Parts: sequence; structure tokens; C-alpha cells
Amino acid sequence: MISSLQDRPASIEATSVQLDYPVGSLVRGSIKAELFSLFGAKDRAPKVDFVRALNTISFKVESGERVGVIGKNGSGKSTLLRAIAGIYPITGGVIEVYGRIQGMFDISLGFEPEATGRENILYRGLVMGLSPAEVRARQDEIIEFADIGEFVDLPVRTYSSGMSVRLAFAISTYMRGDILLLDEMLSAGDAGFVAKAQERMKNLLSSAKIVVLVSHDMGTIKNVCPRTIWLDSGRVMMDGPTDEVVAAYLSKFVPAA
Amino acid sequence: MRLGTYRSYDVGDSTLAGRFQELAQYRHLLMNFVASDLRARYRRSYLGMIWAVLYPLVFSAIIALVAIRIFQQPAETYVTYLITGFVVWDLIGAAISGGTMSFLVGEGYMRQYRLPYIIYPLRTVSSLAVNSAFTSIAAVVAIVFLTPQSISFYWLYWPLVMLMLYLFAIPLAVLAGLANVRFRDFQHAAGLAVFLLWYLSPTIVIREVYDSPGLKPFTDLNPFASALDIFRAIMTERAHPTLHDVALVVGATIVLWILALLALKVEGRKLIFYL
Repeated sequence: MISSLQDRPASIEATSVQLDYPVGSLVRGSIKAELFSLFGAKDRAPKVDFVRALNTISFKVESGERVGVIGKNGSGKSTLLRAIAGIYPITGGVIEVYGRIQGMFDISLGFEPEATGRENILYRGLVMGLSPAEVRARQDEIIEFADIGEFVDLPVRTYSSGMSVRLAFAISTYMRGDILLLDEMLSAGDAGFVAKAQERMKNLLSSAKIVVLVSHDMGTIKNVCPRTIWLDSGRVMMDGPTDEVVAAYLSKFVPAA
Repeated sequence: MRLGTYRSYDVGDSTLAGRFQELAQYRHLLMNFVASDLRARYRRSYLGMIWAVLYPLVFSAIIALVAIRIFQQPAETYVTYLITGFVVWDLIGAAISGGTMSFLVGEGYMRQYRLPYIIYPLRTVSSLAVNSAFTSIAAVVAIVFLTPQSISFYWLYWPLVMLMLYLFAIPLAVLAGLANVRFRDFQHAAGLAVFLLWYLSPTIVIREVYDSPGLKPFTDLNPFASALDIFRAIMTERAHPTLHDVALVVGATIVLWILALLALKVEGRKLIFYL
């Protein structure tokens, strides 16, 4: 089934997507509270069971498109990316994705602290669905790009935070997927590395078949994405050409002169 | 909680066969995770995995020195009794206590990638199983030197029995892990529960105690006791495991797998939000 679909162009289709984020048991969430509630003890915390993070969202992204997602904090942008990646389960509607997803969020998470940089490159590659041979083929390039010297053979827990970020960046950007999901443009390290990183990001953006970029930086959105979706309280406020959507979004906050 | 539909055509479909196919793609990852866990467990130690053999030998010798005076057991058979108990408990008992953290330690991956959730408890139990396999060497060493009369062709059952214990341990880790993500109190309670279970199963106290009138009904229904009996039957007693023991462990394994898969299906929808 998988092989027969490989030639199909990459696409994302979201239809009436809803995502309720459960918070009820985060408010209560202990055996003590559950037991006390059996004996009639009332929770003092307000009874909120879920927050609707995405509300009947529909859109379609075809191969070749670069789509920006904007909105104020808490509007559901990052949640939408993670729902497309299949990390957050949706509670209503349908998301259909064709193509290998490359999600780039929280890239510094998930290192094995006791394992060396070299081993972590292998683990991260395997997590991304590559075979050990595929990871080995890319390993030297990743190490060279990360530029962490002999530290690559030391446990990651010995790294400075800058080195961890550089390694995470080098690994995450070397793996190529069809659909690139980005939560803010990535940058890392000192001035020399930033220039290299920007060049790498540019290549990554041009090689992906689909890019969905969440950002608060309207300049970046305008540079990268011809199309933009504006989210507010989990709903699509506007979906169209970036210039129009960004102008409408900004006009909500900046009073006309 | 209501459900939406997520279909990604890059991974397997949502049938059980599709799930297995998806999991099989990550076999290299699982093997490397296990190697990483074992390296971390014995990090910076000169003897490394030799500790998996040495520790139970020395531990059992210490306990035996004291206990043979209380239970008046022949030292040789008691040492092999202890070590075989060690091998089994280090897998099935530790699957519960270690399993509690299995999803929490995978948080970094879970927040970034869509891996089958079962891979996290599988990682925990697989690491324990490899360690237990090494601990089995300690059992063999003890038997060869102390009770060579126990050496038999029944040892050929060892891989099968280890597989049985492994399959029994996996759903225990899944359930413990899910419970702990939901209720963080669970890890503390589980520690005590495993301790109680350890006492209620023939790991260290001599087997006859568990056949006393007060304990026998419980022992007969305790799959942990049966797992220990099965391992000792083939390793030290030159005997086939009893049908009762095998049926109890297999039955418990099936029930636990059903519960674990159901819990994973239901709780899996919310798991990421509880991390």
C-alpha cells in the first residue's frame, strides 16, 4: 500500500479539524484527588475539562506550496503543526497527509545524555525513519557541519548548550522529508554558525515539496511563503495571499495612521 | 473523548498488521536504544556488563551466608535458588518499577516524532531482558560449580522461557507507564507494590513457605510465582515446567496484553497532553 502511493504528489488536507486539549486531569490529576472526590470532596479548582485549541479548521496544501501560519500566542499555530505531524491526536474532522513529514519543533529535546554525539546522530536518524546505512552515509557531513570537534565522541551531557543546539540543528536539517513543518525559523550558535545555518535553512526550504512555517516574524513569512493562514482562537480567520493576510492581521493591532 | 481521523500514507495503516509493520520499521532504533541503556547502566565502570553476572553472584552469596542458618538449607542449592530468582525478578519485577518511567523518559521523542507509543515500554523491557540474559550466566556459573547435578537438557528451554518472561513483562511495563503518566503518585505506589509482590513470590524466601496453608491459595494464582517456578524447573530441577505454571503465565500474559493494548488505545489519545 505504501509503495503504490509513493508517486503521489505530497499534500496535506485538513477537513473540519477540531482538537480539544484535555486539561481536566491536569488540574486535578492525582490519586488523592480522585479518591477524595469519591467521598464527595469538591475540587476547588474550576472544572475545566478541555480547551478547544483547533476549531473546525479546513484547508488544503498542494505540492510546491509554502504556507505561513500566523496568529497571536495561544491561537493554535503550534498545535496545528503538531496535529499535521500526527503528534497531537485530533478530536474531530480529518487530516490526510501524503508524503514523509519532517517536523522541526523542540529539536533540542530527545538527546540521550549518556550517549555520544555520534550515537545520538544515529538514534535521531533512526527515529526519523532512516536505516542505519542511510544515517551512516550522512554522518560525516553532519559532524562536519555541527563543528563540535572531538566532542562528537563524548557523551552529550558534557556539551555546552550551544554545542547541543548546533548538533541538533545539524542532524535535523540533514534529514530530508517531503513536508517540512517549521515552528519558527531555526538559527543556532555564534555568528559564524548563524550564517551557515541560514544557508542550510534556505536549502531545506527549497528542497521540501511542501513547507508550513509558523512564525511571529512577518518579514520571514513574507520572504518564504506566498500563502498565509491567520489563526485566532483556533479558527481560521483568513487564508490567502501573504500580503493581504499579513496586512489584515497587522491592522488588527496597529491603528491606522 | 471524541476522535478525529488522521491518515498519513507514509506509515502503516491502522490495522494490527499495519501497526506491526510500522513497529518493525523501528527495530534498529529499538536495538540501539537497548545498547544505549545498557551502556548508561554500566557507564564509567571498569567491569561493565560483567556486573550483571558478578552482582547476583555476590549478592546471593551474602544472603545465603545469613539465610542458610535461618532456613537450614544446604548452601549450594540455596545459592542457585537465589540466583535463578534474581534472573526472573530482574525482568518481571523491574518491568513494573522501570516501566513506570518508560513514557516519561521518551518525552523528548514523543514531542517531536510520531513513533508507535509501545516502543518506549518495549525499550525498557528489552534492556531488562538483555541484562537478565547476562544474569543467567551467573546462574549457570553457580550451578556448574555448586550443583552440577542440575545440568540437564532442560536448559535448552532457556530461550523459550526467556521469551515467555519477556512477553509477560512487556504489558506490565505498558500498564505501569500509562498509569504513571496519568497519576504521578503511581511510581511511588508501584515501588511498594513490587516490594510486596517480591515478598509474596518465591524469590528469596524458600519455596516451601509459599505452600503453607495461609499462602498456597495465593501462590497458586500468582503468575509471578509460576514464572519463577518455570525458570527453576528447567534450570535447577531437571524438570518440565508444570502445566499449571505455564497455563497461568500464558493466561496472565494474554489478559495483560489485551488490557495493555486497550489502555494504549484509549490513553494513547491523550498521552502527549499529560507529559
